[in-house]
Amino acid sequence: MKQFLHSGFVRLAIVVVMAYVIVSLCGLREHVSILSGVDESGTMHLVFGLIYILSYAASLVLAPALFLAAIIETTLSKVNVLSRKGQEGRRLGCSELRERQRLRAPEHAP
Amino acid sequence: MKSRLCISAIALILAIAIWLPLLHLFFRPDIGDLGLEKGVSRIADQLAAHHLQIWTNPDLRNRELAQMRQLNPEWDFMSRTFLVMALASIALRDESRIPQCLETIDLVIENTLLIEQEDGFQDFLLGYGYADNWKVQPPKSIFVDGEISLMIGARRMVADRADYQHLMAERIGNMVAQMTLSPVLSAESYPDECWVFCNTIALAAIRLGDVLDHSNHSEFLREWVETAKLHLVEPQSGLLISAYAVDGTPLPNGPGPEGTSIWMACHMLQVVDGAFAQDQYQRAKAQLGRSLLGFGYSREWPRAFAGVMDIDSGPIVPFVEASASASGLALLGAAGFSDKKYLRQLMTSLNIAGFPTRKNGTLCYQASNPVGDAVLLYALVQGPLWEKAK
Repeated sequence: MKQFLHSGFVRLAIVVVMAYVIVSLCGLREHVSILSGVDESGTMHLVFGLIYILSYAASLVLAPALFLAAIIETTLSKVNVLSRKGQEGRRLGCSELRERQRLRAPEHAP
Repeated sequence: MKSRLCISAIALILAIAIWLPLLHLFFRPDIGDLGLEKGVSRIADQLAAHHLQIWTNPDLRNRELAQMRQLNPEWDFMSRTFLVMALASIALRDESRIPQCLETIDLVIENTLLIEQEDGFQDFLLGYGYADNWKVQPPKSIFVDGEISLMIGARRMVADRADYQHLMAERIGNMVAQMTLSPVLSAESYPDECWVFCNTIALAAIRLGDVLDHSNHSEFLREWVETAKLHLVEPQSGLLISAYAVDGTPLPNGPGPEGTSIWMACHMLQVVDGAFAQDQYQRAKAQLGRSLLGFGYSREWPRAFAGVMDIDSGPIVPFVEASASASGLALLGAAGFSDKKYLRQLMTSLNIAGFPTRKNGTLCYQASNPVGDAVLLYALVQGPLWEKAK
C-alpha cells in the first residue's frame, strides 16, 4: 500500500483529479458552450472552456488509467522482487553446494 | 533503474489498454432512455421541459434564438421544425400532454408564419438567399415551405385545425408545382441550389397532406424516388447526393453524400418509400456510421469522397473524421430505423462529449444549441407520427 501511494502514477492521477475538481467548483463547465457553435463571447470564455475540456478529458481518460497503472506497476515490481530473490536464492544455493563439494573433495582424494 | 522504468512503461500501456475499452460502460444510456418503447423517456421529458421553458419565457426565447440567428438563421428555423415534430410525437405518445404540446406548437407555428409574413422567407436563410438568381420565379424556398408544411402537418396529425388545412394545402400545391418544373423534381432552397435535405422534408409533408386531406400525390412521390435513383444517387456509394442545381447538376458545396443530409433524408423517406429509405439507411450506416471503443459517431463524408468543412458539417474531429452535426442527425436515423445498437453508441458519445446539464428538471447539452437539442428530442420521441403517416 505504501509503495502504491508513493507511485508517481498515483501522484499524477491525484493532480489531474484535483485540477478537474477545482475547475468544476469554479464553474468553468458553463464555458463548454464554446463547442455549441453559437456562443461567441470573448477570449476568456474560450480559454476557460478549453481549460475545462482538457481537465475533463484528462480526468476521464488519464486519471483512471494512471491509477490502474500504479496497481499494475506495484504488482509487477513485487513479482520482479520475488523472482530476483528466487534467482539469488538459487544462485546462492548453487555456490554453497559448489563450495561444499570443493571442501569435501580433498578429504576423498587418494 | 532500467528495469523499473521498463516496468512503469509496461504498466502504463497495460492500464490504458484495459481502461479505454471500459470507459464507454460509464456513459452508456439505459435502453429505456432511447425512446424505442412506449411513453416518454426521462431524458426526452427533461429536454422537452427545457424547450418549453424557452418558448414560454420570451426573454429566454429571444436570447436563445437570437444567438443562433446571429450565426445561422437556418438553425433558428430548423429548431422550430424539430421542436414541433417532437411535441407532436410526445402528444401522440402521451394523451395527457396534448393541450400543453398543442399550445406550444401553435405558438411556434404562428410566430414562424408572422416572421415569414413580415420579413420574408429569406429571413430564415443565410445571406445569399437574398440574391436574385432564383431559377424559378417568383422565388420560393422549399427549405421554408417544406418545413412549415411539415410543422403544420405534424400539428394536424395530433388535432386538426380548419384554418391550418387551407394553409397547408396551398403550400403543398405550390411546392409540387415548383418541383415539377425541375427535371429532377426538386425545388430550390437557395438560388439554383436544391438540397436533398429540404426536398425530402417536402416529400414527407406532401405525404402528411395526403393522409390528412385524402389528396393523392402517390404518383408524384413514386416518380420522385425513381428520378432520384437515376439522377441523384452517387454511383460509388449508392447514396443520395446533398446539393444540386435545378437541372440536377451536383453543386460544389454538396456534390456527394453528406451525413448532415442523408440521415435526415432517410428518416423523411420512411413515409414516402420505406424500401428506398431502408436501403439508403443501410448504405449510410456502412459508409458513414462508425464506432470506436463503444462510442458511436458519424462521418460527414464517405471515405472515398473528401468534402470541405463548412457551416453544415461543423467542426470535424481529426483522424476519426467524426462530425458533430452528422452524428446528431445520425441519432435521428438510428432511432427512425430502430437501430438499437448504433443509437446506444451515439447516445454514449453524447453523454461523454455533449456535457449534459440538468437544472430544475430540465436538460440541455452544453456542447449543443437549441437546434441540436431539438434534433435529439425528436429522435428520442419519433415514431408515432410516422406510424400514422405510413
